[in-house]
Amino acid sequence: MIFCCDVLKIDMTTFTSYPDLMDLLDDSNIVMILSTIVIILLTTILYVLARGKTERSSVLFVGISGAGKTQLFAQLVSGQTKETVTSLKENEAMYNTSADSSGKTKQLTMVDIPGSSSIRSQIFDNFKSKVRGLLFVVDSGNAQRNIKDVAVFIYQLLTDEIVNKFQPKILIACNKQDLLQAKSKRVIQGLLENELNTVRKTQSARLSHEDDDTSDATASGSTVFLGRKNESFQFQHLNKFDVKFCECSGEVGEENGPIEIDEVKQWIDSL
Amino acid sequence: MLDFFTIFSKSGLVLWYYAFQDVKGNFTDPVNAFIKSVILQERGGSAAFIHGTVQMKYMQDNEFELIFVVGYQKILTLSYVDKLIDDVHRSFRDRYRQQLLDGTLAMLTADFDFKSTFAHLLKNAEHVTVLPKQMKGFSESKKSQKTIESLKIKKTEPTSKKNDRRNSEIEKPKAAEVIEPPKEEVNPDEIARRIEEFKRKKTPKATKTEKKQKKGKTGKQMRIWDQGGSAKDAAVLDYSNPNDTSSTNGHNGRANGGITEEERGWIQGSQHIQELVVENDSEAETAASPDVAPSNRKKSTGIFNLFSNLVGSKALSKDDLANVLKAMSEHLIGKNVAAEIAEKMCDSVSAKLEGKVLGTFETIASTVKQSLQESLVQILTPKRRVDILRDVLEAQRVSRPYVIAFCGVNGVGKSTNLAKISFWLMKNGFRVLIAACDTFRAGAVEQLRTHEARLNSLYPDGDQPKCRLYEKGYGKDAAHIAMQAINAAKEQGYDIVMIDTAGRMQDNEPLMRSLSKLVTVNSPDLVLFVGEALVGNEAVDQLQKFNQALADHSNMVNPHCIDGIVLTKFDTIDDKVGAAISMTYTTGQPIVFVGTGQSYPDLRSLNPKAVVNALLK
Repeated sequence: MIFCCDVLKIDMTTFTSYPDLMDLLDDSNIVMILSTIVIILLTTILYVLARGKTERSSVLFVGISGAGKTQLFAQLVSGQTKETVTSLKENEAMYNTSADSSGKTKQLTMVDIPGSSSIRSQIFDNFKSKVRGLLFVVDSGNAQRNIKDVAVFIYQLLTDEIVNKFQPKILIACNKQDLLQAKSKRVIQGLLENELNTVRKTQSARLSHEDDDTSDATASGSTVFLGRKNESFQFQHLNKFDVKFCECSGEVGEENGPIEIDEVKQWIDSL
Repeated sequence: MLDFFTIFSKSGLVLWYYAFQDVKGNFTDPVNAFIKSVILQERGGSAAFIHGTVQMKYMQDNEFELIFVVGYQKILTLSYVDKLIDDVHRSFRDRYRQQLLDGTLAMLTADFDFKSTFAHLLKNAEHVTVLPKQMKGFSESKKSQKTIESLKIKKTEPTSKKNDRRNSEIEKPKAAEVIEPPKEEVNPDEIARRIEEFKRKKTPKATKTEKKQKKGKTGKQMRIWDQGGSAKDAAVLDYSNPNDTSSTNGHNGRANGGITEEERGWIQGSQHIQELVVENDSEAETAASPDVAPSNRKKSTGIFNLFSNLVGSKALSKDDLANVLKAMSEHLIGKNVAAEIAEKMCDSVSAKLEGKVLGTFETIASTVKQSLQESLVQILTPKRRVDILRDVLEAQRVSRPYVIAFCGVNGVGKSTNLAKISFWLMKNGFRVLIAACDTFRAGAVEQLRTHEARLNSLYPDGDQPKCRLYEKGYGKDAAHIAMQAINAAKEQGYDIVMIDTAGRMQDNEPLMRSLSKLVTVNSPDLVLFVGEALVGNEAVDQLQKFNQALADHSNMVNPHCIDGIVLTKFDTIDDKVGAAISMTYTTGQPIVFVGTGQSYPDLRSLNPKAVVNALLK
């Protein structure tokens, strides 16, 4: 643009009338102006595309404390079993999916959100805008004991404003299948649906994010009624979300069974 | 002699561990308990923690986000542990600096072969014998170097130092002054004069009685006492209206149990308990002035740090943090957080940030403020699931009533908030039995009876009333009444029993014992401590002593302590919301309800982010 101006400047000094200006705009000047406009347009389009690509490429590992998220995360990302303790902060790492039919691999960000109730909502809020897939890890050995906490957490996730906006794919991984008392995924699905049936009523009667308006049109989902009203809750009824179940085990079991995370890997590849 | 030594990242990955006899299970439980109670509850200021028989000492490395924990049997007193942690920290950091900086993937794949180095450091530490302090001989002490002249105590007047003779002269007149006054009294004239004065002082009483007798001639007026009366006054004192039933307690002229139209509109409200909104707009002007001081400081450190950060990375030192944290602590205290709680919070934030490397364009003040905000939200967010309706349904399923007990000091709003919570529960379709276990305060039972009448007329339900009061009058044993109420509820199919107890001061031991007896005998599902938001430093003392009393006098292995807090009179405090922090920090229990007024719909649930925003504004 600068050399364009220089060229035009020299001519501008001798400019006297309007018809001269029209002459100036001919030939090379027009080409130069048009090319600069095209370059600017191209760069903005590329920038928008590039930003759009990295915008939602995270897979978030969520679940209550002790479900085995950090262990599973370590297995997936590095293939190694590590000792873990209760997480206080998130774990973040890049992961390359295996090559699909056309031979392309994707690069996704795996984020392991700590499960302790006091910090999980804060940390989840930091990462939820980039979510592409939600991996909800459930401890299959302690399913019956923790079912209420798990159900409340799933309810909070499904009624979260931003999660509803982006509608990520959801996988509920029944972890710790190596334990003797581990329940199968069908049993856990049944337990969860049963519990969510009750929870959707009690949670919506409990919270409201609106202030003194008694109108029921609240913003953050306290009147979002999961599933169908007159039927008991089922995950299939959720038309916004695609919820799948799978079994996995992140650690070598007592019978030294294999570590099974293939189903999880397949789901990640399909994102 | 150590049980274990672990190095783990704050994100949960154990990088290296040493366990006595290589028994892995030895350290996961204590370390998890340590994390839950110390770090997650922001008690990071103190450096030691005891879990069962294991004592743990720890250190946080905030630059690489690591925690070093050592555990040993608490009966041992090992003097080398602190030095060992420091040495291990330094050597680990120096050796694996590159892997730690490379990120999570590097941490996962790297092999931290630290065993030999650790064994070496441990041996060094154990063998460094700390010599007991040798006593100084006299020749080494400072006293032997003083001259006799310097040991004399002189008067503070500057002249006295120059001339010793003048000192002795000054001393004598003073001694003479002391002696003189007694000499005066020996004089007999003086004695007589003083006796006269003494007599005169006595006589004013006599003049008073004389005055009284003069007045008495006009005749004694009969004194009318307000509270007294005899049978002759019965006609004057009869306020009862023959048309009224006893339930209205003498209020005449209001039909429908005394409910107005406006109050009837409360039934139409939503079934939700709405979230708390803390007012902050109206206080913008007054809040501006206290903000000026910290913001000025922010600006100065901000500009300075901006330039220093552009040059290179800067690690935070304790001194840098001390100034900002002091200002933050004062700001919190100004917002009605208890003083010791504010101090502990700031200590914990300082432990979390010391040694952290600031990124570019990050100021110390903004980092501290953000860290403090995260800690405060973390404290206010409940550690466990709080869903009373779900628990009531669970109790309904096994056909027993869900029992909630309210306790607290005098005048905090137990009965009022009990009625509000009953209103909410009835709106959700449950039947409530109110047990009047306040058998001491005059009018307590009548107050609850009025609430019962109003609640029943708001939710009429055929012949089976939705709300019923169970009372046995005054002066009886509260624990016994509660037990009978629970049995009655089970028989008659009431879903919830609300036990209203008498207000009591936290250091009144017999009353504390009787409260503990009530809780032990009846084992309620939920023991709620009712505290008002106006309370300041007292909150810590009240909660500590209540919890202590419930634990000590219960004679059980797992005593039932306070499960939740009801924060009342929230509408009176504008944005000085610090009492919420003091209470949750002291007990670790969540705030279940917030009371914002004296009518039935004035019940809210706590919104941690809103409260913390108001607190840090």
